[in-house]
Amino acid sequence: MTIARVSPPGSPSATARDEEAVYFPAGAHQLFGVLTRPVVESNGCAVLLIKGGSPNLVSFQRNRLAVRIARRAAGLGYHVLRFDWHGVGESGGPLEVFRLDRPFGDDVVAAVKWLQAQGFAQVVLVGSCYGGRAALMAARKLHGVQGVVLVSMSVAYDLYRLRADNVAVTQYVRRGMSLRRLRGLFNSTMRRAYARVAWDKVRAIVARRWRRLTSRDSIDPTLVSTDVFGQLKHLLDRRARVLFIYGTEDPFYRHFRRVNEGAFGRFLARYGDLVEVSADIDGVVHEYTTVAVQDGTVEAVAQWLRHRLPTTESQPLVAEQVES
Amino acid sequence: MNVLSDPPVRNAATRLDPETGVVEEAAFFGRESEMLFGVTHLPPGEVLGGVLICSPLHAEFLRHYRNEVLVARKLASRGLAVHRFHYRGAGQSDGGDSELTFESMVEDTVAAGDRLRERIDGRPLSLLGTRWGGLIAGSAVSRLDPVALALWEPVTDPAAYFQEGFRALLLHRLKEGRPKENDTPLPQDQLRRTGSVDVLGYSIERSLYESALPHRLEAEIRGALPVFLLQLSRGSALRKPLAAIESELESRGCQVTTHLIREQVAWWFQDTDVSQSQWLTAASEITGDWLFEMHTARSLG
Repeated sequence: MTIARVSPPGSPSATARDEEAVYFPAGAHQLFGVLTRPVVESNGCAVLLIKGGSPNLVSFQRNRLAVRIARRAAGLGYHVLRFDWHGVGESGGPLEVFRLDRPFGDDVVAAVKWLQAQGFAQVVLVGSCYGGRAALMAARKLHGVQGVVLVSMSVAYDLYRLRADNVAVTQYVRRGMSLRRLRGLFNSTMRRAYARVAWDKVRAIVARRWRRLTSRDSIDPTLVSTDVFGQLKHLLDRRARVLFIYGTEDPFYRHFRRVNEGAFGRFLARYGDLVEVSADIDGVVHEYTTVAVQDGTVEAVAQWLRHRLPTTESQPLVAEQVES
Repeated sequence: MNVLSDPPVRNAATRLDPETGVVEEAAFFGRESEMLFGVTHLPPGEVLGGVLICSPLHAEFLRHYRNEVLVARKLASRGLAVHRFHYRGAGQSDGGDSELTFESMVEDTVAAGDRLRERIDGRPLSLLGTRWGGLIAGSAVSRLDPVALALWEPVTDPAAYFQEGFRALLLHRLKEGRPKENDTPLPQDQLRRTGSVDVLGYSIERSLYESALPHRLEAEIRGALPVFLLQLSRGSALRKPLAAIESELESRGCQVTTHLIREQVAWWFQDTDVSQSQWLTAASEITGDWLFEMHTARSLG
C-alpha cells in the first residue's frame, strides 16, 4: 500500500519560536535534543526522530531534514523530539562504533522515557536506517509505542551475510582465482577474512536447504534478522502500526522486496493494514543525498502521521517499562 | 571569580560536561520571527575572554560539527567562553534556503558576537572560523572588532568553494555509476538557468551564490589584527591562495601566524571513522595556545 502524496492545503508549520533545546539523561551521559511544540491543538502524541548511524549526522540531519519533519508534524498536532546519539553532535559521552546488529537502543529508550516524563504516554518512532534498527530494539522495552516508521532500513541480519546470500558460489570461485586473492592466502589476516566469507556462504546454503526441508513459513535468518523479526512481531502483536519507506532504487528495498515474496511477506500480511510500505520515492532514499528524496520522505512521513495516527485502538495509556 | 551576566534568552537548556567542568547552555535567541540556535560553553573558573566560532556550510557543517563542539569544550576548559551558533537557513535556526545569503550570515555572526559580548561583560572577543566560516569571520571583523582572528582552512574565494561542491557532486554521480545523461546539465549551468542546484542533498540557491561571489577573504579582513592561519593538506608548503592571504595581511600590518598539518580532509563527504582525528587534537592545542596568548596579552595590555 502506498501513501498518497498530497499536501493538505494551509497546513501550518512550526518555527524555531515553537522549539526549545533540552538535555536529558541516558545512562552515564546527557543527550541533547530539540523539542518542537505543536502549532495547532495537541493530539497528546509525541514523535521521536531517530537519525542514522554516523559520527557526522547530528539531530537536524542532512539539509535540516529532521527540522522539516519536526516542524511539519507540529502542524499536525504532534510534539516532536529530535536528538543526538551519545558521542555525537551536542550530546555527552564518547563516540562509539555504529553497528547495525547492536544499535544504541538505550539512547532511544532514554529519549522516550524523557518524553513520557513530560506527559506523553503515546509515542511514534521515526527511524532512518540504523535509527530504524534502534527504534525496533527500543520498542521492545517500551509501552505506549503507537507506531514506527522505518526509513530505508535493512531487514537483513548482517550486511556481509546479505552479500553472501546474493553472490553465487561460481562467482566466489571465479573471484577467488585472481592473483591478488591467491597472494592473500600467505597473509594470516586475509586467510581469516576468506574463511569468514566462505563460512557465511556455507551457512547461507545450509540455511536455505534446511528451510526448504522444514516449514515454508519459517523466516530464513540469513535473509531477515531474527532480531528484526522478533521486534516487529512484538510491535504488531500490540497493534502498533508500522510504515516502511524506501526509495525505488534503495539497495535495501531490493532485498526487502525479495524477502517480502516469501515467509517474511506472509508474516507481515497477517497484520493487514497495520503494516504499510511506501516505495514510490524516486531514487535512493538512504543517506538523503538529493533534495527530492528528502521532500518525498517528509511528505510520506507527514501523510502517514496525518492519516494513520494517533489511534484509539492502542496500548494502555499508562507508560510502563516492560523490560529494563 | 566568574562574573558572567545572566543569559538574555529564554528557555536555555544547560549541561555540565563532566570531563572539563564546562557548563553548556543551548538556546534559541534573537528576533521571534528569525530565531537563531546557539550553544555557549562557559569556563568553570575565571573567564579570560570569549571566542565566537563561525561554522562551515552545507555538508562541511555536518562533517565538522562535532569537531567544533570538542574544540569549544577544550577552549572553555582553558578559560575562554565560547559561543557557537547556526546561521539562519542552516542547522536548527529559522529561515529557508533562499534566506541564506552572505550578508545574512555576517549579520547573524554579529548578532551572535553581541550575545557573547553581553555574557562576558566586555572582556576581549576573538573569532575562529573554519572553511566558509573563515570567510564570514573575516567579514565580521570590521563590525565586531575582535582582538584576534583564527582561520582553519578558510575559503578564500567563494567561486572556488562552489566549484569544489560541484566537483563533489560529479564524483558522487560517478561513484553511483550513473550512466552519462546528455540532458543532465552541469551544476553551474543548472544554477544559472533554474536558480538553484542540488549538491549532495543541499540546495544551493542563486541568492547565496551571487551574494557571495564578490567577497574574497583578503579584502574582507579590515584593520591590523593578529591572524592565525591553519592549513590542512598533504603538502609541506602553504598553498598559493593562503600564501597570498598571508602576504597581503602582513603588508597591512597584521601579525600572521601560520601552521600546517599534514592531513587531507574531504570536507564534502561524511567521515565514518569514529576515532577522534589526530589533526583535530593538534589543531585545538595549537589554536588554543595562540588564542590564550592573544587574550592574555590583551588583558595585560
